[in-house]
Amino acid sequence: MSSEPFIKARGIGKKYALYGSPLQRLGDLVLGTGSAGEHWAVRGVDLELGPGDCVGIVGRNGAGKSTLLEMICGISRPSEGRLETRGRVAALLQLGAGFNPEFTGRENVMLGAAIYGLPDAEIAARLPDIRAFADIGDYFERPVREYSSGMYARLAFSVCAHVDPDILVVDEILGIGDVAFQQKSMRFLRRFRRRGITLFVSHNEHAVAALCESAVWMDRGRVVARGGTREVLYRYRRELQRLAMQDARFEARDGAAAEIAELPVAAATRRPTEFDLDEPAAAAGLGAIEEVVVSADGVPLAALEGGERIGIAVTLRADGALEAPFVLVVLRNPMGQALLACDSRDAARQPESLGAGDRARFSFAFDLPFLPTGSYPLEIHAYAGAGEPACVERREAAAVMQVLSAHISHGMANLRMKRTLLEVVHEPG
Amino acid sequence: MGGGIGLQAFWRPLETLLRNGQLYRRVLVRDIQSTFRGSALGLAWIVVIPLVLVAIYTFVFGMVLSSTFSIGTRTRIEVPLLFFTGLTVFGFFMEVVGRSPNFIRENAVYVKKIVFPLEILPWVLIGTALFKFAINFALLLVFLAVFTGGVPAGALMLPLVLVPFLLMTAGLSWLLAAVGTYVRDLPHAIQALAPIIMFISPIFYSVQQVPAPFATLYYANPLTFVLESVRGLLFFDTAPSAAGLLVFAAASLLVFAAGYAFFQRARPGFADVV
Repeated sequence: MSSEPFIKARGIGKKYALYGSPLQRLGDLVLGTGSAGEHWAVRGVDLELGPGDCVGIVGRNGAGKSTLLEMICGISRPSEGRLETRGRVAALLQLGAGFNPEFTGRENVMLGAAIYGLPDAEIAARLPDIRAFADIGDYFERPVREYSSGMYARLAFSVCAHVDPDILVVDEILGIGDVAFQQKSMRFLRRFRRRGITLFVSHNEHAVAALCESAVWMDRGRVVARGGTREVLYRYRRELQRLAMQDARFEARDGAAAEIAELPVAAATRRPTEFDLDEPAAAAGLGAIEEVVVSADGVPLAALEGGERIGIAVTLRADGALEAPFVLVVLRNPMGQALLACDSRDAARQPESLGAGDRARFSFAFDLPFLPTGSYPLEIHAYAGAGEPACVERREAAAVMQVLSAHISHGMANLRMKRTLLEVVHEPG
Repeated sequence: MGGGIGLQAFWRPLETLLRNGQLYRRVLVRDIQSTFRGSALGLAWIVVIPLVLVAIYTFVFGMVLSSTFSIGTRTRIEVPLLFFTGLTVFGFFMEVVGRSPNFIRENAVYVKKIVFPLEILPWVLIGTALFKFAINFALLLVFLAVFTGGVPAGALMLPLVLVPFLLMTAGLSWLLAAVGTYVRDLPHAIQALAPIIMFISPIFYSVQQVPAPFATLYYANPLTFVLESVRGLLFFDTAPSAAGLLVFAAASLLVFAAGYAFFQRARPGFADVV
């Protein structure tokens, strides 16, 4: 019997009827009393996947990603279109779904595997493997309520990894557990994707980029783009950035940076910033940041890789007398930690003071470090005052740098390894 | 509204049970275990609870209020045994009916996160309740044998009453589980109704003691037929009429199939409300 797994979807859509109350919903389902309105969570999606396909699905909240996965898993039925699947589907929509805390790891594994459709004999045969993969020692025989969250995740994932799925549907579950577990699960997924069909939804684009060779971008229930992961992710981020900027009060322009002289090393090591970046003194309303122009070697800010020369030009307008004004630039990582903070007081020429209506332009240039994939907001502050500087204006996320890393190293800095060398050292004797 | 009532409507609820046999067994065992997991007496509670109830009801109704069954009881010991019979039957029914409205919501994970044959969940309730019923009923037969010197041959006819009763309860379970998932008042309503159902069912008295105008009305309560028949067969050597059995079986099958059909129709919306 030919049993190559497949997923074939032709124009599938899912309609949710809206109801005023649960009772009305029940009435409509059983008696057809009608609904208050309807909402298409997914519409017109085509998919055709076979063994070895690994597809990442990206999109904002409410784009219909989870609804699509639910349909493919068989948890909900499409309202329109044709959907055919063949093969055992393992839905990892929630790790440890169906685990009962009062029962031991072993008992939960038995039921968990049965829920995934494994016959009793198979469960018994695989129990040792599941136990070994989970690697939680004697806790396997203890009630699950005594587990740490890491142990819980290990055991739950171990069950999924051993039910021999043909189609694996993973929704946003790999962020949990400890590092060792994450490595283990990623290793399993990488091995699995060669023979089965993998569908992967994650907000962690890094994980999507690392795992999937193709991606689908969904928005408002429809497929916006599909194709190679890098290209789709690039378009998706560019759109995200555009949307983020729409809401912002102004837009930083991509542009050409003026060539500026490099700072002498001595100046750059002058002093640490003496005030709190996160809680600057209140704005005095004496002026405004008029314009921010950001350049990156001609590369769009939505597609940085690291190593680009970033140029920033900030125009400050004074509405009253500003004494010793300066501008501070902060580059933050996606977690909001400051990666870089430098101010214009290092420049050779300082504006002594600005009168009402005066403008000053502050230029900066730095080389973007190699960073992990993510969004890096650039924050611009303007200060004035010689002794205790007061904040004139502060713009959070004046521009967002999108890094899509091609590097394979991990960690916060994501440096490119320059050289590796293997030497075999023979112990004497 | 479609979905006409063919023979399939009666077969489908059983077919799903057969198809998911191994899974059903595991979920059922889990459900039975989790009721008493962690308690010192464990499964003994299944027997202890009804025996305590029988003791207190015997004291209140048998001694304080000195109510007797109108059909003459032969020995003093028969009163608690009659109560025990009634409570065992009622306990089975009430356990299923009481747990059904909340059961889907309690198992929300099965609705939203995994592919699971939800329609077997009411079968799980039935299975657990049946397990307790069987233990108590076996105990009852032992008491009967010890105190009255034997189990009457009429006991062989019990399946004719109990199997339709089980199917009817299952039908009600699907219905209540589906409605209760949407209407959160239902669990509270059932809780409020439970003592009422207990007292308007002939558990501590016979339907023959009910005044004439109400007695007929009593048979609208499906428990009445079951309680009267079971007691008749075990204690009074009276068998239910063939007509009664037929009507009861037909009604039970109807509730069974209709409950299942209702559940299946309401089911697509579960994920949106749990």
